[in-house]
Amino acid sequence: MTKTYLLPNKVRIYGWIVLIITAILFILCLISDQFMDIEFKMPAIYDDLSGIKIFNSSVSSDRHWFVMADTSIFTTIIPSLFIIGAILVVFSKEKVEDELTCKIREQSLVWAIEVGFTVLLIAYLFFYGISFLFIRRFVVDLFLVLFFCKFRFEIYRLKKEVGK
Amino acid sequence: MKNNLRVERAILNISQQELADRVGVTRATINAIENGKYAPSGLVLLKIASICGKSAEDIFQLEEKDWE
Repeated sequence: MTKTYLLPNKVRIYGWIVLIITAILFILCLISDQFMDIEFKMPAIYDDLSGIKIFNSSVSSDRHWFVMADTSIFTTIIPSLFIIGAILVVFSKEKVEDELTCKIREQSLVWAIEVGFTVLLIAYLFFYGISFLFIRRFVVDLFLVLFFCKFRFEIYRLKKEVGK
Repeated sequence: MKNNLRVERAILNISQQELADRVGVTRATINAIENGKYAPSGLVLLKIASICGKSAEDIFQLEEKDWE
């Protein structure tokens, strides 16, 4: 018996709800600086950034284990919700999950890994400084998006072929 | 791998959807098999053969390129 690590199909709708909430929060952050600046504290395993203000001279090199770290909606809540929503959507089963679907999923996964790591390689070679950190951060999200788009496109193409 | 699944299905007078339901796959999979775009697993192959009342070799035949 082949073990599958996919989530049940019914969780997909919850994934979309989480993604819609994420999109609303993201748009609110883009249009409102006040919303973006809302800060709160989160328990951190390790924090070496609290106290650092990148765009002025107040830089601290303090490093702390198991502390309450300063964070914001934009840096913690939105990425966390995006990952939760995306995983629920991307890794949930189809209504009828058969071996061809599994094969397409596997091929899409390999394609997304190849493209994602190519982007990462380009980032390593040609991007430096803060922009590199941003790109490296978004490659994880990019991988989920690439995988989802490729898989949905291949399923759409298959269904379109049946419809002919 | 070539096959005459379309003919066997016509003999049984069942649609792609009916065969798909009985095998436990999607209609798209049956369509892809019939068009030679997808080689099914041993399990699906044997299920199809069983439904058609034939041996697997009667429905599916290897081609030269399958050995390359």
